[in-house]
Amino acid sequence: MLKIVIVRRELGLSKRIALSLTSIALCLAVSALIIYAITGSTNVVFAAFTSFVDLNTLRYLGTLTVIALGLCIAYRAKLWNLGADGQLVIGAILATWFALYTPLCSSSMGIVLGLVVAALGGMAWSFIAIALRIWIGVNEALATLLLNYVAYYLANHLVEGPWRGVAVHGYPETDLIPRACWIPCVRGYSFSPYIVAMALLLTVLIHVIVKRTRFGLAVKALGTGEALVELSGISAKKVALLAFLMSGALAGLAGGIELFEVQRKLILGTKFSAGLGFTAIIVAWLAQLEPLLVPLVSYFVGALLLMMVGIQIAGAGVGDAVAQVIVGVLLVSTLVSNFFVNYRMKIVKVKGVKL
Amino acid sequence: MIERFLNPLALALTLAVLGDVVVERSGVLNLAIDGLFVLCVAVTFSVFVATSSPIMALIAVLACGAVLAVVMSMLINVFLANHVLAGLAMNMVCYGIATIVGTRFLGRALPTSLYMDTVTIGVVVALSTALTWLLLYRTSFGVALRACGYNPRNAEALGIDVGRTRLVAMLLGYELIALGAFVYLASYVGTWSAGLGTGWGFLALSLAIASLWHPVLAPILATSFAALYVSMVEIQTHPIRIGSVVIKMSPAMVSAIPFVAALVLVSILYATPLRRIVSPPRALGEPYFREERTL
Repeated sequence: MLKIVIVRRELGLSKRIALSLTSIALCLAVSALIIYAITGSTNVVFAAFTSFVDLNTLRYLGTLTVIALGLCIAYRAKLWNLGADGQLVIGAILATWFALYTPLCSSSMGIVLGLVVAALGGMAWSFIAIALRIWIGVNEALATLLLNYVAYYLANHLVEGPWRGVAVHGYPETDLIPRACWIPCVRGYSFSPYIVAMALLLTVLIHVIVKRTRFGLAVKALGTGEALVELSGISAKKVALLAFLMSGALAGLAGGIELFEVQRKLILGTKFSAGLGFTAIIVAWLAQLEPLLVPLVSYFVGALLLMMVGIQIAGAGVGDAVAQVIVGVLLVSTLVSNFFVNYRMKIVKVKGVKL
Repeated sequence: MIERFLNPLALALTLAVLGDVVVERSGVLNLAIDGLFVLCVAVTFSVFVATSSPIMALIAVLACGAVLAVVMSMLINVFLANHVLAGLAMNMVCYGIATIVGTRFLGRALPTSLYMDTVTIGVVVALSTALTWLLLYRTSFGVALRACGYNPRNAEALGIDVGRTRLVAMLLGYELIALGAFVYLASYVGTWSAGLGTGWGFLALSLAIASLWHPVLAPILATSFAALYVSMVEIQTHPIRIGSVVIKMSPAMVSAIPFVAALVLVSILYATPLRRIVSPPRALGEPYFREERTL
């Protein structure tokens, strides 16, 4: 009798890379097929793929990189921060408050200060979840998921009520933030070189923190087992707290960036975040939690998102939905390819054993 | 008063929470529940509108649940994918497909709304609760299922096929959740817009965890939440007056209440000895690798 057996294995780097590329190619093929199925035109498929050489992709690179870098730290510690979306919204809420309701915005350091406020907001929001985890033992994946919804509804409450703008004709959104708070974009494009530069700098910084510091090592150890950290004389709670707060702060910072660079006003919570916090989770894992790979993957996923905006303009009307399916399929194919990296299937002959 | 607890929303939520209890008791962290719920809602709507037949919609939604259970089980049990990531990926795919499927019939109304009276709802809630409890605590399969969630290695040593048990648990659980989505659309909402149902799956998940995965506690919490939710809509329109204090809440704040309450409840339950009374599935979310056998 033949039987399939699954065996663990270690693959070399070149084979790992080959498998990753295969899963990416598979995903692209699937997305091309989906676009073709919806629009029925090969021209649209080709037009869609130009997003990979469109500089507007850099707008997604900035935001996704910043969030995913933070998530890399949390996930290395095996802390499931699924709340980047909510932390982003809270960051944006605080940045909106800063821009609209304090006079500090017009000062020379206005934008920087606003981004710091946003980061602190995201950090505070993530603190709730990690505090419940450390001191009570509530699963942090669950807590962050629930807190996302609280954050969305908080934003909705503000834009539908107290913060609704006077010049928006009843739409649920605030007025535009003052021009002094706008991060200038390159003429004709929707991205700012400052944000891209900041994202790349942060990449290097997080890489150094993760690979070259005692804290980075402690985070890695925490991911392996709590006892390991405690045995080396470091408080596991402190490491967990710090790692989680860093991921929250970076997500909050991304909220500030989205507000100052792209949206320039607060809108309904889920619309504002547009699922970027969840997309960043996928970015972090596609990058194998390696900070240096994060900008590359962000660019790739950003191009996919931009591609779908293009399709929407082309008239399919369900661009966002298609984008979700494709990014989801991308993650599924990565998960499956990870299986083939770590395990081998072999067929063995089993002699007729009767149990 | 009783009809407030036994409204269609309560039934939908109860079924979804019970389904989640069955899935998670087998050790599968069920984050895909939100995508499943949203997709099943969209499928119910589309098939109901297209065929004008609730039976066809019911068959379609059950098929949808079964397919997703098999796909998720493949990812988790065969490809040993991380439960959180597999769940999130499935969610994204399902949200997307739901929008694509539902948008074709956007703006159309259901031919008939499925009305259910309080007694029917009460009977269905009681019956599904009792059956789930019997399955989990009074059958050998239920014991095997819970063993897989508590310690899959030991379960295997006792001769239980963990992969197969988890697959059956997911099939059963997903069908219950799909039924919940069917009731949610056909009896409670009655119309569809893009993204309808988002968040309800996660709410069901959090209620299941808040009830510590116990099939008798779960419907109590679910119906209470449904009652709270339905009453909240009234509080909005008729502000409660306590003495001179007027409680007036915005719709957004009301919508946030279940999520805050779930978080508070989970925290309370975890912080008190209640946690030890109902032994939760300890191996929840652990991918289980059987290792190579020399047979």
